[in-house]
Amino acid sequence: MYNYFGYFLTVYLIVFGVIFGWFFNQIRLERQAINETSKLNES
Amino acid sequence: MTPFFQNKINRIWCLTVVGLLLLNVWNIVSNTPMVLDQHWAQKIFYVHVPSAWVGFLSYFVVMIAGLMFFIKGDEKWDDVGLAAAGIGTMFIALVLITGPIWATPIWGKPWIWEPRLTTTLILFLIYIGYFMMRTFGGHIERIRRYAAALGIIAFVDVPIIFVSVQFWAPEIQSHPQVEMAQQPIGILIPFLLSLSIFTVLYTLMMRYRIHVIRISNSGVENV
Repeated sequence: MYNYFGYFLTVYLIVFGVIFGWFFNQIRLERQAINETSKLNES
Repeated sequence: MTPFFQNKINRIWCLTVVGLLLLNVWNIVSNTPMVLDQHWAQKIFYVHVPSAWVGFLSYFVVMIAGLMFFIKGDEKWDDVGLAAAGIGTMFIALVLITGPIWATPIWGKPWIWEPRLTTTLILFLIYIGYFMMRTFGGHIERIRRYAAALGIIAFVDVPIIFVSVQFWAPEIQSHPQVEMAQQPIGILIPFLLSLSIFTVLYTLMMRYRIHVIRISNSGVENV
Protein backbone atom coordinates (compact mmCIF):
# COMPACT_ATOMS: atom_id res chain seq x y z
CA MET A 1 0.00 0.00 0.00
CA TYR A 2 1.39 3.37 -1.02
CA ASN A 3 1.53 6.41 1.27
CA TYR A 4 -0.33 8.75 -1.10
CA PHE A 5 -0.04 11.72 1.26
CA GLY A 6 3.74 11.29 1.32
CA TYR A 7 3.89 11.55 -2.50
CA PHE A 8 1.62 14.62 -2.42
CA LEU A 9 3.72 16.33 0.26
CA THR A 10 7.00 15.53 -1.54
CA VAL A 11 5.75 17.10 -4.79
CA TYR A 12 4.48 20.29 -3.10
CA LEU A 13 7.70 20.69 -1.11
CA ILE A 14 9.80 20.25 -4.28
CA VAL A 15 7.71 22.63 -6.45
CA PHE A 16 7.42 25.47 -3.92
CA GLY A 17 10.95 24.87 -2.62
CA VAL A 18 12.37 25.22 -6.15
CA ILE A 19 10.32 28.39 -6.80
CA PHE A 20 11.48 29.90 -3.46
CA GLY A 21 15.07 28.87 -4.25
CA TRP A 22 14.81 30.53 -7.67
CA PHE A 23 13.83 33.88 -6.07
CA PHE A 24 16.58 33.52 -3.47
CA ASN A 25 19.11 32.92 -6.26
CA GLN A 26 17.89 35.95 -8.24
CA ILE A 27 18.29 38.17 -5.16
CA ARG A 28 21.86 36.87 -4.77
CA LEU A 29 22.67 37.40 -8.48
CA GLU A 30 21.14 40.87 -8.40
CA ARG A 31 23.21 41.94 -5.37
CA GLN A 32 26.35 40.52 -6.99
CA ALA A 33 25.69 42.39 -10.26
CA ILE A 34 24.89 45.68 -8.50
CA ASN A 35 28.08 45.43 -6.41
CA GLU A 36 30.20 44.70 -9.50
CA THR A 37 28.63 47.58 -11.46
CA SER A 38 29.14 50.07 -8.60
CA LYS A 39 32.79 48.93 -8.19
CA LEU A 40 33.37 49.47 -11.94
CA ASN A 41 31.76 52.92 -11.77
CA GLU A 42 33.96 53.89 -8.80
CA SER A 43 37.16 52.79 -10.59
CA MET B 1 20.14 50.30 -11.55
CA THR B 2 18.14 49.83 -8.36
CA PRO B 3 17.21 46.48 -6.77
CA PHE B 4 13.98 44.99 -8.13
CA PHE B 5 12.15 45.04 -4.80
CA GLN B 6 12.92 48.70 -4.12
CA ASN B 7 10.13 49.42 -6.60
CA LYS B 8 6.78 49.58 -4.73
CA ILE B 9 4.81 48.00 -7.61
CA ASN B 10 7.17 45.01 -7.68
CA ARG B 11 6.84 44.55 -3.90
CA ILE B 12 3.03 44.65 -4.12
CA TRP B 13 3.13 42.25 -7.09
CA CYS B 14 5.34 39.82 -5.15
CA LEU B 15 3.13 39.93 -2.03
CA THR B 16 0.06 39.35 -4.22
CA VAL B 17 1.71 36.29 -5.81
CA VAL B 18 2.68 34.88 -2.38
CA GLY B 19 -0.90 35.41 -1.17
CA LEU B 20 -2.34 33.76 -4.29
CA LEU B 21 0.00 30.76 -3.96
CA LEU B 22 -1.01 30.25 -0.30
CA LEU B 23 -4.68 30.56 -1.28
CA ASN B 24 -4.09 28.03 -4.07
CA VAL B 25 -2.53 25.43 -1.73
CA TRP B 26 -5.29 25.97 0.85
CA ASN B 27 -7.95 25.56 -1.86
CA ILE B 28 -6.34 22.36 -3.22
CA VAL B 29 -5.92 20.81 0.25
CA SER B 30 -9.34 21.68 1.65
CA ASN B 31 -11.79 22.23 -1.22
CA THR B 32 -10.93 19.74 -3.97
CA PRO B 33 -12.59 16.29 -4.00
CA MET B 34 -10.61 13.19 -3.06
CA VAL B 35 -10.51 10.88 -6.12
CA LEU B 36 -11.11 7.30 -4.96
CA ASP B 37 -8.34 5.38 -6.75
CA GLN B 38 -5.64 8.06 -6.30
CA HIS B 39 -6.42 9.79 -2.96
CA TRP B 40 -3.85 12.52 -2.17
CA ALA B 41 -1.72 11.60 -5.21
CA GLN B 42 -4.41 13.06 -7.52
CA LYS B 43 -3.81 16.51 -5.98
CA ILE B 44 -0.30 16.46 -7.51
CA PHE B 45 -2.10 17.20 -10.81
CA TYR B 46 -2.96 20.76 -9.58
CA VAL B 47 0.72 21.78 -9.61
CA HIS B 48 2.08 19.31 -12.19
CA VAL B 49 -0.10 20.50 -15.11
CA PRO B 50 0.27 24.27 -14.33
CA SER B 51 4.06 23.72 -14.18
CA ALA B 52 3.89 22.16 -17.66
CA TRP B 53 1.70 25.06 -18.86
CA VAL B 54 4.20 27.66 -17.58
CA GLY B 55 7.07 25.71 -19.14
CA PHE B 56 5.40 25.57 -22.57
CA LEU B 57 4.26 29.22 -22.33
CA SER B 58 7.84 30.17 -21.53
CA TYR B 59 9.16 28.28 -24.57
CA PHE B 60 6.54 30.07 -26.69
CA VAL B 61 7.98 33.36 -25.39
CA VAL B 62 11.50 32.13 -26.32
CA MET B 63 10.26 31.50 -29.88
CA ILE B 64 8.60 34.94 -30.15
CA ALA B 65 11.72 36.60 -28.68
CA GLY B 66 13.86 34.71 -31.23
CA LEU B 67 11.70 35.91 -34.12
CA MET B 68 11.73 39.49 -32.81
CA PHE B 69 15.51 39.33 -32.41
CA PHE B 70 15.89 38.42 -36.10
CA ILE B 71 13.34 41.05 -37.22
CA LYS B 72 14.43 43.98 -35.01
CA GLY B 73 18.05 42.98 -34.32
CA ASP B 74 17.66 44.37 -30.78
CA GLU B 75 19.58 42.56 -28.04
CA LYS B 76 16.74 43.29 -25.58
CA TRP B 77 14.87 40.43 -27.25
CA ASP B 78 17.81 38.15 -26.49
CA ASP B 79 17.44 39.09 -22.80
CA VAL B 80 13.74 38.16 -22.98
CA GLY B 81 14.58 34.85 -24.71
CA LEU B 82 17.27 34.00 -22.17
CA ALA B 83 14.98 34.80 -19.22
CA ALA B 84 12.12 32.74 -20.66
CA ALA B 85 14.41 29.81 -21.54
CA GLY B 86 15.72 29.62 -17.96
CA ILE B 87 12.29 29.79 -16.34
CA GLY B 88 10.79 27.38 -18.88
CA THR B 89 13.53 24.81 -18.32
CA MET B 90 13.09 25.06 -14.54
CA PHE B 91 9.36 24.33 -14.86
CA ILE B 92 9.86 21.51 -17.38
CA ALA B 93 12.42 20.00 -14.97
CA LEU B 94 9.74 20.20 -12.25
CA VAL B 95 7.30 18.42 -14.60
CA LEU B 96 9.86 15.66 -15.23
CA ILE B 97 10.44 15.29 -11.47
CA THR B 98 6.83 15.50 -10.23
CA GLY B 99 5.43 13.29 -13.01
CA PRO B 100 7.41 10.19 -11.97
CA ILE B 101 6.58 10.86 -8.29
CA TRP B 102 2.87 10.75 -9.20
CA ALA B 103 3.39 7.76 -11.53
CA THR B 104 5.11 5.59 -8.88
CA PRO B 105 1.92 4.84 -6.88
CA ILE B 106 -0.49 5.18 -9.85
CA TRP B 107 1.30 3.31 -12.67
CA GLY B 108 3.43 1.19 -10.35
CA LYS B 109 6.65 2.51 -11.93
CA PRO B 110 8.09 6.03 -12.20
CA TRP B 111 8.82 6.12 -15.94
CA ILE B 112 7.35 4.60 -19.09
CA TRP B 113 8.77 5.35 -22.55
CA GLU B 114 5.42 6.53 -23.88
CA PRO B 115 4.99 9.42 -26.38
CA ARG B 116 4.18 12.38 -24.10
CA LEU B 117 6.92 11.61 -21.58
CA THR B 118 9.50 10.93 -24.26
CA THR B 119 8.74 14.10 -26.28
CA THR B 120 8.82 16.20 -23.07
CA LEU B 121 12.21 14.72 -22.16
CA ILE B 122 13.47 15.51 -25.69
CA LEU B 123 12.35 19.16 -25.27
CA PHE B 124 14.16 19.37 -21.93
CA LEU B 125 17.35 17.93 -23.48
CA ILE B 126 17.15 20.41 -26.40
CA TYR B 127 17.14 23.23 -23.83
CA ILE B 128 20.08 21.67 -21.95
CA GLY B 129 21.85 21.95 -25.33
CA TYR B 130 20.61 25.56 -25.60
CA PHE B 131 22.32 26.50 -22.31
CA MET B 132 25.49 24.60 -23.22
CA MET B 133 25.57 26.54 -26.48
CA ARG B 134 25.06 29.83 -24.60
CA THR B 135 27.91 28.96 -22.23
CA PHE B 136 30.46 27.59 -24.74
CA GLY B 137 29.24 29.13 -28.03
CA GLY B 138 32.03 31.67 -28.49
CA HIS B 139 31.38 35.29 -29.50
CA ILE B 140 28.31 36.93 -27.89
CA GLU B 141 26.81 38.09 -31.20
CA ARG B 142 27.01 34.56 -32.64
CA ILE B 143 25.55 33.09 -29.44
CA ARG B 144 22.57 35.46 -29.67
CA ARG B 145 21.84 34.46 -33.28
CA TYR B 146 22.20 30.72 -32.60
CA ALA B 147 20.10 30.97 -29.42
CA ALA B 148 17.31 32.79 -31.29
CA ALA B 149 17.36 30.15 -34.06
CA LEU B 150 17.41 27.24 -31.58
CA GLY B 151 14.53 28.79 -29.57
CA ILE B 152 12.41 28.93 -32.74
CA ILE B 153 13.28 25.38 -33.86
CA ALA B 154 12.85 23.88 -30.36
CA PHE B 155 9.27 25.14 -30.16
CA VAL B 156 8.28 22.66 -32.90
CA ASP B 157 8.37 19.98 -30.16
CA VAL B 158 5.69 21.73 -28.03
CA PRO B 159 2.67 21.05 -30.31
CA ILE B 160 4.03 17.51 -30.83
CA ILE B 161 3.85 16.99 -27.02
CA PHE B 162 0.25 18.25 -26.98
CA VAL B 163 -0.97 16.04 -29.84
CA SER B 164 1.16 13.03 -28.87
CA VAL B 165 -1.77 11.56 -26.93
CA GLN B 166 -3.85 11.44 -30.15
CA PHE B 167 -0.99 11.13 -32.63
CA TRP B 168 0.39 7.75 -31.52
CA ALA B 169 -1.59 4.52 -31.06
CA PRO B 170 -3.75 4.37 -27.87
CA GLU B 171 -2.09 1.05 -26.85
CA ILE B 172 1.24 2.77 -26.17
CA GLN B 173 -0.31 5.72 -24.25
CA SER B 174 -0.19 5.91 -20.47
CA HIS B 175 -1.62 9.43 -20.15
CA PRO B 176 -5.38 9.76 -19.58
CA GLN B 177 -7.38 10.25 -22.78
CA VAL B 178 -10.01 12.35 -20.96
CA GLU B 179 -10.30 16.01 -22.06
CA MET B 180 -10.01 18.64 -19.31
CA ALA B 181 -13.51 19.96 -20.11
CA GLN B 182 -14.89 16.51 -19.20
CA GLN B 183 -13.55 16.75 -15.65
CA PRO B 184 -16.09 17.34 -12.84
CA ILE B 185 -16.59 21.01 -11.93
CA GLY B 186 -15.08 20.40 -8.44
CA ILE B 187 -11.78 19.52 -10.14
CA LEU B 188 -11.99 21.85 -13.14
CA ILE B 189 -12.45 25.15 -11.23
CA PRO B 190 -9.51 24.65 -8.76
CA PHE B 191 -7.41 23.46 -11.70
CA LEU B 192 -8.15 26.62 -13.74
CA LEU B 193 -7.51 28.75 -10.63
CA SER B 194 -4.14 27.06 -10.12
CA LEU B 195 -3.31 27.54 -13.80
CA SER B 196 -4.10 31.27 -13.55
CA ILE B 197 -2.07 31.73 -10.35
CA PHE B 198 0.96 29.98 -11.89
CA THR B 199 0.62 32.32 -14.91
CA VAL B 200 0.66 35.39 -12.61
CA LEU B 201 3.72 33.90 -10.85
CA TYR B 202 5.35 33.48 -14.28
CA THR B 203 4.86 37.18 -15.15
CA LEU B 204 6.60 38.18 -11.91
CA MET B 205 9.46 35.73 -12.52
CA MET B 206 9.95 36.97 -16.09
CA ARG B 207 10.01 40.61 -15.01
CA TYR B 208 12.52 39.88 -12.24
CA ARG B 209 14.78 37.67 -14.39
CA ILE B 210 14.92 40.24 -17.23
CA HIS B 211 15.82 42.90 -14.64
CA VAL B 212 18.68 40.75 -13.25
CA ILE B 213 19.99 39.91 -16.77
CA ARG B 214 20.02 43.62 -17.71
CA ILE B 215 21.89 44.60 -14.52
CA SER B 216 24.46 41.84 -15.22
CA ASN B 217 24.83 42.96 -18.86
CA SER B 218 25.25 46.62 -17.89
CA GLY B 219 28.22 45.57 -15.72
CA VAL B 220 29.80 43.64 -18.64
CA GLU B 221 29.22 46.51 -21.09
CA ASN B 222 30.98 48.97 -18.75
CA VAL B 223 34.24 46.93 -18.83
